[in-house]
Amino acid sequence: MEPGGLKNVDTVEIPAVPVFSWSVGNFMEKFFDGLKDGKLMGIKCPKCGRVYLPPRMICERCFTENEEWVELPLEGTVESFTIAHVKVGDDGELEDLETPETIGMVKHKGADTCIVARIEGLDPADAGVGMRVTVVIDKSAENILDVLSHYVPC
Amino acid sequence: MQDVAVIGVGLSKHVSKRRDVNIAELVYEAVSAAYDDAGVSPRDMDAVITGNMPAFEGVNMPELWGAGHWGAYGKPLLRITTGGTTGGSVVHGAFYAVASGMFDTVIAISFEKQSDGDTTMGLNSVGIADFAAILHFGTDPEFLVSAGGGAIGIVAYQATSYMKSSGCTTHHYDKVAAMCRSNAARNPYAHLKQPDITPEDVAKTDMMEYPLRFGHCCPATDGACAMIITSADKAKKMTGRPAYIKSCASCSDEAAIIGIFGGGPAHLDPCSQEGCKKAAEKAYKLAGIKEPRKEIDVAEPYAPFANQLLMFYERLFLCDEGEAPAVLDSGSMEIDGELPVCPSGGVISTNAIGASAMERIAECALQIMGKAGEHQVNKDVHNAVAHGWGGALNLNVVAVLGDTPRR
Repeated sequence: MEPGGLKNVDTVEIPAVPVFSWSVGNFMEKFFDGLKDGKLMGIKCPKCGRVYLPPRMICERCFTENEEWVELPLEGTVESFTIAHVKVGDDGELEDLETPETIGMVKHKGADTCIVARIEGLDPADAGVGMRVTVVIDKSAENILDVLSHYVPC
Repeated sequence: MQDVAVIGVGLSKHVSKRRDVNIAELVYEAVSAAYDDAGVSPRDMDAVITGNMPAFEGVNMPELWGAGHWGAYGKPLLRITTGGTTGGSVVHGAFYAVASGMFDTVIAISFEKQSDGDTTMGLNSVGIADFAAILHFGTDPEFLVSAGGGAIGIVAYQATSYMKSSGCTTHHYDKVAAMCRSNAARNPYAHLKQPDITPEDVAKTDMMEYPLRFGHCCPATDGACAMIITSADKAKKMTGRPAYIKSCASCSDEAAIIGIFGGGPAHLDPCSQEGCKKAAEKAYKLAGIKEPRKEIDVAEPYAPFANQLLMFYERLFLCDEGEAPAVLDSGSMEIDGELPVCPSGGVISTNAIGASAMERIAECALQIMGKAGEHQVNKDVHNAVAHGWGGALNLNVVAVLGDTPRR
């Protein structure tokens, strides 16, 4: 048979709706509870002292269980950033953003890891590494993942 | 090739919904228990081998999320996923790694957190691949739905065929379910524990899909299992009583297509399970087992459905074909019987799918090491056989464990 010679090709649509319900776990549970109180909670490795934000159960380098909760300042420093020009629309397709958005990796003093979130209230052209930003917490957000809303320049 | 041994086993709590932990944290319970049991730490591991069902939790690469929680930081990491056989294949992978001499000590980890995921969707991801094959044969995919959905829709054919070939009745399936669930009641890591259940109770449960009733079917479980596997030389120095993995063998049979070939590969008889026989033959040969009926002291066949315990007991050559129902009636399979079967309670009592085939091997190891506690069998265990069934219905994995290395 010549390549492409087969004619019996059918297109079948299979409707499928997957439903997942991921548990955030003990540690992210406390992180979200902290946010709702207006606090940014990280966790410290008892062995090497690294502070994880967001928190996680295990310090992977030491393989120890993290126990000591640390409240971190709401201000942080942009370690790296990008500027987004498209977003995923409700139909799952990419669509152009009306105005480009800045997304930063923010390190809070005392933490050894970064949080990635949108930085609002600035012209993306003004974004830069080393910039100081403050986290904006929206306690009334319907979705738990939206309580840490975004960052704004200090 | 170096001899291989198990020096530690760890299990998480197994229940239907672990909302208090995420996937990485759930698996950590089993992993840390295994390290503690063996008296080792991640520092002693040369590699980490893990696996779970593809797509079940909707997390595509959970091993990369969990790696650090399981002691894999800075180590070689490998994921193996082969359907229902996954946990068995993970141990086979660990066995190959150590036996080859590439690594001395590895941790094998398997798990499933079914409550986080969408099991039907997960099975559909297997089924959707089958749609293509079904269309190949010119069959309308709607036929798949009418042929029966999910795992039970596959196993129902095996159960009917087995009744025909062995002459047993559904009463035997009721007895198997009651035996396993009461064994599970002795196992702190089992999910469905029914100490006082009778075959009559099972017979009263709802019919799911002929000839299988609700009581003949496994639950959906959140749970994890981990095993520390090392060379026999190291094992002797690290523990007084290791469980040696004498052999691992697997067999991929002809591809099975759900809805066309029923519950088995492309044979007329879905309960023939030739692949299991081939894997078992090879495993016994490698292990130096000549007469499995006399030499095997405990068996852990993979049986999420009651009928499969009898079918696979035969395909593992523990009795003649068609004789398993009579062996069951004799009481020999009971936990205090001559050749106890599924003293752990089996997959019919606890099914964290990706972990289930490993938990068969783990149970054999615990029985040999004398660490099974309340469900320790009432006899010396010199050799035990563990089995897994999965793939796209066509993969069987068999491992023989013993209290001495291979001769």
